[in-house]
Amino acid sequence: MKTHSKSRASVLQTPSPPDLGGVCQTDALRKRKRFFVALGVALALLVGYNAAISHTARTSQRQRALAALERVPANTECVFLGNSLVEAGCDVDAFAAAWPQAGHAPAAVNLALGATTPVEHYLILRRAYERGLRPRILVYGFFDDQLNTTVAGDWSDLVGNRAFSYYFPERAAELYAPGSTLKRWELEFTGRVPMLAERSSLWTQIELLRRRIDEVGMPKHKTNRFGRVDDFGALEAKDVASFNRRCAAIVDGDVGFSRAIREIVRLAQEHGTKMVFVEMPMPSRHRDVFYASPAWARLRAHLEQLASTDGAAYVSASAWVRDDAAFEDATHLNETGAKFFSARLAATISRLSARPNDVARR
Amino acid sequence: MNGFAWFKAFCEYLEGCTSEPPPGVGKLASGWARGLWWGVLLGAIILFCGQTSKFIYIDF
Repeated sequence: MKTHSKSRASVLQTPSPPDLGGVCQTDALRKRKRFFVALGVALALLVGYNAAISHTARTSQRQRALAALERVPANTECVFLGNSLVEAGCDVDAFAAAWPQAGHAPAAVNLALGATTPVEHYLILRRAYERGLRPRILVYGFFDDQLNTTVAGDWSDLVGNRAFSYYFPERAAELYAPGSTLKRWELEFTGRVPMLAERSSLWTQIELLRRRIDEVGMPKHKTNRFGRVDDFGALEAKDVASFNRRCAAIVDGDVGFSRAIREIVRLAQEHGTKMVFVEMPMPSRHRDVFYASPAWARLRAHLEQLASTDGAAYVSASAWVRDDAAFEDATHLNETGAKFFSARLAATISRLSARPNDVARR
Repeated sequence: MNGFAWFKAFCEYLEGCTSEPPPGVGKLASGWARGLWWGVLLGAIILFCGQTSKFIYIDF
């Protein structure tokens, strides 16, 4: 009892030093807590962004195309495949109506998707086969040197509908960088994060806003279902010289079909599908500027040879639609043009079905 | 201090024009406010970082 009193007195007499260690510890704890709260809030917002982007992307063309692919009737006999040239140019109803044997037209479906490359076309076709489709005919529409050009699949390339590659990362990686585990991981990881894989869904909205602002007080740009009409001229080669050089390089180097096209051909062969390569119709300007050159004639002969070697048919339809009013921009057929072209294609393919490995010119 | 005056004082504090923050700035230093700030910044970056992409096809 006495001891206790003494020590108490001692405590009262001697001022204790401030507990600096405790203060620092509390401060560090507070800072740590603040950091983790901030991190948590930022992460929660990121999760929210991902959910919002995932929701927005559901209505994108590529996701609608993927959904449509899951609903394609199993009895489909003819598949149209390609980019927006085919999407715009192949009218399934006009094709069926113009089939020579009335009532016996193959059930056709247009699986083309705008702003895509042969890699995405391969992914679409492979998914279709996996779903049990066994078409007799595969119509693959293309333009220029699309069948031979190697397709890049880098970060900056896979935006818009090309984000379709993220839906099937393993297969896409095999075409972009064969044997590369890193590429597969890159596509797989990106494909799991909507904010990365579907990033262009938001960018598109910003781009549309920019265009609206850009047009304030200015004449409006003419647009169609794919974008600004004037922009599609940019899809063509820069000039005739560079186009001719590209054509010559393919022919002189005896370059075969690109890897993705070879895979499409292989898939078709495996499933007993007759493949038909179709040079899509082009307006007179494109034909006169690019297709009138000897370099294109040589490339066309080369492509016909490659197709023939693979047991595929080749239809040179670039000059089928002579009226430029049937085009809605520098490359795409409009509704009228699509009906005309599809009807003529039906007649040609019905003949080709009877004569395999044929080449149709006119 | 009305909203505009507060904002002005806050900007002046941020740019170093004044050394005293306006009242209530302490709340902005909380973890919640910082998280919100960085989250919003990330969102803005995500929205606008695609400006170098060449949009020919627009997914209407």
